Amino acid sequence: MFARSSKLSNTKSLFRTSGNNVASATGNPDLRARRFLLFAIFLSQLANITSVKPLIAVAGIAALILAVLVNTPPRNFFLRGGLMGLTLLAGLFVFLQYGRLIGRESGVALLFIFGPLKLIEAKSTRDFMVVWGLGLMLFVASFFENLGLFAALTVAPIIVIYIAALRLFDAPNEECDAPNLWSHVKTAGLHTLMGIPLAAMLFILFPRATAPLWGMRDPTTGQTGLSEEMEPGQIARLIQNREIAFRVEFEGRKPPRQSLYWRGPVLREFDGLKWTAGESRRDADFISPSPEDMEKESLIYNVTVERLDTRWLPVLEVPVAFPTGPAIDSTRFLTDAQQIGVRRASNGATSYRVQSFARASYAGIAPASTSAELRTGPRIWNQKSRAFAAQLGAQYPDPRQRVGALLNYFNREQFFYTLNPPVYADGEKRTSAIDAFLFEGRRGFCEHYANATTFLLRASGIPARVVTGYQGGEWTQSGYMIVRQSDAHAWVEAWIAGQWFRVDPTAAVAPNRVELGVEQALPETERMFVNGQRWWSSDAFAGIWENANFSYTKWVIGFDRDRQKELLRELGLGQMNPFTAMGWMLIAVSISGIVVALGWWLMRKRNERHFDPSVRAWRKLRARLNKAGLNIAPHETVSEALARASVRWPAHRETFAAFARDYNALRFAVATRSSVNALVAAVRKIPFAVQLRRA
Amino acid sequence: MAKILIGNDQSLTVNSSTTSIPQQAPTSWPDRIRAHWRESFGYKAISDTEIELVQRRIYVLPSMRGWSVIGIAILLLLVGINYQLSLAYVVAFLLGGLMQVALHATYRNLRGLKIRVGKSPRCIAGETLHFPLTVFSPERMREGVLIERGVKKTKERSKVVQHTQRPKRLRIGADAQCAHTIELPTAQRGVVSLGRLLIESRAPYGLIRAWSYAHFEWVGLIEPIPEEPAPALPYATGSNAQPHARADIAHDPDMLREYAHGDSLKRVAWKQVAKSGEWYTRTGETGQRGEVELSWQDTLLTDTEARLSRIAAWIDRARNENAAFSLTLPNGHLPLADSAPHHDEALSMLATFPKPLSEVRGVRA
Repeated sequence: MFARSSKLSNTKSLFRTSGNNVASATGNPDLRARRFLLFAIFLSQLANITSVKPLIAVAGIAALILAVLVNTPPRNFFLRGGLMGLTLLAGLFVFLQYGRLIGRESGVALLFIFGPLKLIEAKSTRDFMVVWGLGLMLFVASFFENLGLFAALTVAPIIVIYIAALRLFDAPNEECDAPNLWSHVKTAGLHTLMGIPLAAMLFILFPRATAPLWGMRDPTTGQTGLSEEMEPGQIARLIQNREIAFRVEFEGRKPPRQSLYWRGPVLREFDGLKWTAGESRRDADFISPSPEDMEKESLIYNVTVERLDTRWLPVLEVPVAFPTGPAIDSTRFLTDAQQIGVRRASNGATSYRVQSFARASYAGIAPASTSAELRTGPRIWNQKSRAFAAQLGAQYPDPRQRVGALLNYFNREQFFYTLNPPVYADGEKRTSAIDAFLFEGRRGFCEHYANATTFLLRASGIPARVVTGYQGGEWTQSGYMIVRQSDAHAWVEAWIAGQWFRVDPTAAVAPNRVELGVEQALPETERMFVNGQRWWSSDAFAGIWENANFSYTKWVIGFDRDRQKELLRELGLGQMNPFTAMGWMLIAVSISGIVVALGWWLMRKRNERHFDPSVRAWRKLRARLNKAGLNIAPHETVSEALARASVRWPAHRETFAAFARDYNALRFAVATRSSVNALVAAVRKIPFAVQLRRA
Repeated sequence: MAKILIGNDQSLTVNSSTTSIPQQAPTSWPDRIRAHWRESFGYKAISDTEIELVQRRIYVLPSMRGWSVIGIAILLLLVGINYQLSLAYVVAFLLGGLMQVALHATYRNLRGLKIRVGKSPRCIAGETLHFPLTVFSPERMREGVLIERGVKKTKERSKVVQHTQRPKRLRIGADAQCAHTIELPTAQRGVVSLGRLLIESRAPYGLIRAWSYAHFEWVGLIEPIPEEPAPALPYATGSNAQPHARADIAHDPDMLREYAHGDSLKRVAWKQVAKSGEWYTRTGETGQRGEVELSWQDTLLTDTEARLSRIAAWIDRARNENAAFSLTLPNGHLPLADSAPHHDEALSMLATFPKPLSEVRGVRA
């Protein structure tokens, strides 16, 4: 009991002393370095706050606060043990949250908590350096989640803060008053600026890899984007996200908006509620259009995807050749559903060049009668819809007419296109969700219509599947197209007469969705959900920001092997290997340095010319003698200096004497041409400094 | 340490350093290059009083911290390559740019720095020698400049670092100068050379270590410890063991004259100085002054160090008793005098024994 209370008082005293130190933070260089480093860590944590789980964020901030409170590393055995325990606890906590310790996300979480914890027990500048490294790593880890222009803009200030922190580490060893913090930050900023030319050169010319060096990436979780499955409400949520999915630059012809169906995951399997991808063959062939069609219809475009959410590359329906791009050249494949996938998705931006037809149908292999495209689940599911499908089938034996009738039905009846449909399937009603939608609610978003249409077509005997992706896009003033997450869409493909036809039931309900975009298609009261996040979109700033963002995405985020080649080509370096280019660049830098030095030398020579010729000759001689070790003082006259030189180098006594005589005559008597020449000749007679020194 | 044999078969140890012999200027190319390197690495002592750190004698390499930043940059680069994170490339390359800038900044911290040596310091064996330096910083401010003895990383160095605190790093304003002392603990009477100086800077970021060497021909004099208890002065037996009056000094105790450089501080009339602000020296004699001849033989001892200690004690005593003395040692002779420089010179002779003071290189006045 007694021991316990003493320990308590010990802890108290520790906190009390630390409290006193707070006031003198400016006077204590060690504490100042600690605080500043803590600030840097805090910025790193801030950059990651959205990408770690909330509880981890809370734990990390708690560790940070603890580090603010504890100003001196604990020396007490129990306190140190406690800190060790806290560290282990944090590790355990991360393990419980993520289920493992090794991996990207759990690694970020560990850095998030360990950074401040390590600072608490940091005793030496070496420990500070470890914390510094952890903090910087944590900052870079935030790029896994945010690669946007805003993240890029934070890089410079945060690096400056880290560099300034580096400077404070040594402050305790410095004598006398250190300048204030702001001057450190300013110098650090200046030094960062000075380092930018080299950094830029390395960035441009450092050879880019085409494939990851190790490991697969972790599955992307918690990111908003298309996923490989679809359930009601999913796309409606996505639609409120104004994030940019990808950007497209068309070469040549630009297609109309209605034909812009960006193909994403194709979904076949249906479990009553959710659609999943199911099996697909990966060795399919592209459609083979005639050369005339090729001429007429083909679209060539470059796509820069901010972040690949699935294995599938968004391409316009229907692609006619594999896309080309450094990140995908080795891992791409084509499925029998004409979707282009990659075996290994890169984490950053991906860009590729594709050729497509903007077509609504393509030929394929007929699905077998047992294929997933005809399955509708147990017969007890959605019995009303089945009956309706059977009725349609009887009424319109021709599949083409049947599809038309179905779309007409959607158009004619009171169906609504809305972001806030009722919940059709919760708990028990899962098996009758489509019935509830078709015959009771009649309010839905594109996934509801795609879902119901596919079910009805299958039930009536037409093979069908759901296709998710994006529809439309937004032209910018700079002539490229932005496709946002809010352009996400779901539609249907039906097998009719040997071809897969695109069927878009949403277009039947709300034609504006396809012609004008989702915002115009929605009821006015719901538009704010879609455009609410770009309240500043009318500003001129928005355009500037968007252009900057595009250039940034293209030239920084998407700066890969191809862009590098393109840039080298534009610089006139053609097919040069980046390493060679880097070598040349270094040579160029050296040469420019030499040129500057030469210019400086010439300028000095020119300044020399302002002197009288006799003074020039003397300066030349003086420099030579100084170099040979005579050390002529500024106050020494020519005669005095040369008298000393004569003593040191008796061999040249005559020359020195002649020079002094001529010089004095020239400077202080009447000048004649011949005496100037004599002076110059005298300097020539005197050997170089090296020879003099050897004498 | 060098064992030096002296005439009467006694051996004594003297701290080396006084052995640098002027060398012939090398003539062949390889020799000259070697000589240049020896000089710029500080292996050869120079007789100049001032040295300017120029480009060719400043060395730069990343420090441990610099290597760790390079390591972090490489790690970030690998992360960037693997996950195709362009911003990781950006951060890695910015760190690379920082290393380059830090290299220049640290190099500029030393370039152009001028170091001037002061007097040869003196102390009694066992005390610490303080070598005074003046550091000039032309053009710009310098930070974190460390000047210390460039001892090789041996046990000696670690001992020095353990026992004395690491010297302060200097911060010198633009076109300013700054006084600095190098401390050197001593153990034994003799002459010790300061040896090679290491001038180092890691500022501003500690990522780069820039260093240079300066090796001045510069020694400190370590006087013998005076014998305890101090023996009586060996007044000549002929003068009935009493100090006799000196004719050249007036006997009026209140005679004052203006202070002249070199007068003993003991004779300064402090009361008058405090009153008037002017400096006066008492020329009056309060007591009788003695004259004594100190010589090697009068010590009546056999051990060299003991003899030197006794003479040192005599010199101190003569100073305290205001006695004038002359000194005769095997390594030189000093005529009768009683000024402060005279005392110092006498003690220097003891320190440099058995060499005459004039033969010791590196004594700077």
